[in-house]
Amino acid sequence: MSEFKLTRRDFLKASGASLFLAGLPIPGYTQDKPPGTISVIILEGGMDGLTAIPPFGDPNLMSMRKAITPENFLKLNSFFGLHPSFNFFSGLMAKNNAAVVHATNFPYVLRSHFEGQNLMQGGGTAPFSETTGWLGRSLDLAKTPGRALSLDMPLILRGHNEVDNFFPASIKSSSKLKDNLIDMITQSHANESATSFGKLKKKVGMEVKNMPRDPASLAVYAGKEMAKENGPLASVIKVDRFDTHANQGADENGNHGAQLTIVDDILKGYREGLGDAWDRSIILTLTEFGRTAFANGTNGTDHGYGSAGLLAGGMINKSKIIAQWPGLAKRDLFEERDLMSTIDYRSVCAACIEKALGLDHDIIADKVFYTPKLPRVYDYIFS
Amino acid sequence: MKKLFLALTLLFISSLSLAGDCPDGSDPIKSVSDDGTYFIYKCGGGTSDNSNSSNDTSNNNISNSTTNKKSRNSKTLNKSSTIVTYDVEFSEAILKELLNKVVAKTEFDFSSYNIANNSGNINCAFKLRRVNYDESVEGKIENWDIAKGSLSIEDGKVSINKRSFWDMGGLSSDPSYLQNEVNIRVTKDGHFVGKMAYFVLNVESGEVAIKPSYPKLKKSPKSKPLDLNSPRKAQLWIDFDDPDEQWQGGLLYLSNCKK
Repeated sequence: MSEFKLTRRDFLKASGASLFLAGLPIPGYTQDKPPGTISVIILEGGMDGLTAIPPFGDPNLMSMRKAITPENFLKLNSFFGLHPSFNFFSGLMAKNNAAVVHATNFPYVLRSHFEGQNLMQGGGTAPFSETTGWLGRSLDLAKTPGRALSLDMPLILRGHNEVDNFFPASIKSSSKLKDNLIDMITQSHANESATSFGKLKKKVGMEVKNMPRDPASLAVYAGKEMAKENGPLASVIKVDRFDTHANQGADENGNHGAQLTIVDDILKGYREGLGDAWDRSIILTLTEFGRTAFANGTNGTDHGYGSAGLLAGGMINKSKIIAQWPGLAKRDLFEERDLMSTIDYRSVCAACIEKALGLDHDIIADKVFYTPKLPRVYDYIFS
Repeated sequence: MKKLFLALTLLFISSLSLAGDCPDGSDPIKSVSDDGTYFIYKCGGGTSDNSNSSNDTSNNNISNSTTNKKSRNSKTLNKSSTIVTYDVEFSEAILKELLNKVVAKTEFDFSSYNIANNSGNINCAFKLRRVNYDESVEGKIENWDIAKGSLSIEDGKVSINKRSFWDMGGLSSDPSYLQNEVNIRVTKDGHFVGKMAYFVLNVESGEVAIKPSYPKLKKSPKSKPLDLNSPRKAQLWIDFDDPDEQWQGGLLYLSNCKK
């Protein structure tokens, strides 16, 4: 009898994640197909940027977090390293299809998960100030408002357009609900709109119920959908459990390292699913905050400020790390405890929107992030 | 009164700083004084004095001027006062190892083949049969189609048309394998080259699904290639490089081809 072995890595790889697809071009409404697709991986709990991309060239790093810094990191250059969990991402780095923005965050310093997650999805200037999300508003501006796929629409995808959220989730014992609802909507519209809803109904009927739900498989599925001619332009995958207050671990077998492995698997899944559409894709991570620069008494880290953002996709043509490095000396830390954020991550999001959806930076800054003077970092990432 | 005068003076100095641009055209960088009582504006390249601006969460001190962009390859600074792009540098050996991690399953180097880039549009019906080498070196062509449908050749690139299908059960019923995981070109002398998802074994209902193989399609001396000038039919042999899979091969029949 064969022995059944389930490693911790296998278990975590099979753990749940949420996928949301959005931005279905609507004939007669969407004028020009945007140049690319944009995918967001939301890392809930606060990803530790100093673990993911250890700045080993900073002399203070090891003295403040030796127990939680991997020894077997990959040297990206003489200053920054890459956590060993990023097996696939390292390949993308080698292929000039990946970049990292370090010492960055949304402009939020109060270290609350709820507020931070709301702000990073809403993209406003204060938590709970927005009822729509920055990606949803971007899709509105790109005139691709037909969005899907769940009643549990994450804030990041909510837009102003009225057709938002017309596509309900499956409800137990109500398998026909979606068809009936779309039939009703179709009947109330004519011509191109009816055609669009017809396509949507076809999409609803797609057989996805047996699709694996692990994060990597969701990414493969999302990639395949986005690769289609009139497929969605945006996708969001949410992964949680980055809040490692204790026993964070250092390498790929640690608690934080296991979560980074999931991110790596998702990127690999997107690459596989997108196929040729990889060349016009951009994928970025979001997290509500970084973690404290010093390891705490239980070899974990607490809620912090600055973190790192990972970028990948065929639209990146030169791998690099982008940072206005603030230093790790105690006086250089935010409130003498957290990595300082020196790059507003909204600028990074704006650059990705500009590249993928073909929108002007000034419009994104004003209409999406409500910050007309939001710095433009596009050239740092994409030139 | 003295305090009021001091405050007004500082405000005046502060507004003067705001009014002027840096010599290089960028905006001044805003930071907070050491005692936290007033703002300092400095042009890019100065000493980093931004570390105490803990309440300046909007980070408007980022310079977006491309003139400030630098590329840094060494750890000469622990802090930087502008955005720096740090290049990624790998040794040749590590680069090769890393690149192997991201090669797409259907990636194929066509550079050694003369691809018929001006083939025009050709449509053909196709069927694929398995060749079993277990019983004879020449191979026995099995009498059932493991895949069938139609394909299009457009300027050298082969695309499998919708409604084509694998008939091997399991994962092969997912049409996306034929749509997205086929990377085949036709050479000027009518051979198919490239890589594709290929289902070697039949999977019955209830059996564990088997992932596809990705054999390289190469020119075979046994093949009867397609005449691109007057396309009608062809027989293209598919051989497997993997020793575990060499017990079988494939024979792709093209028929009813039209330009």
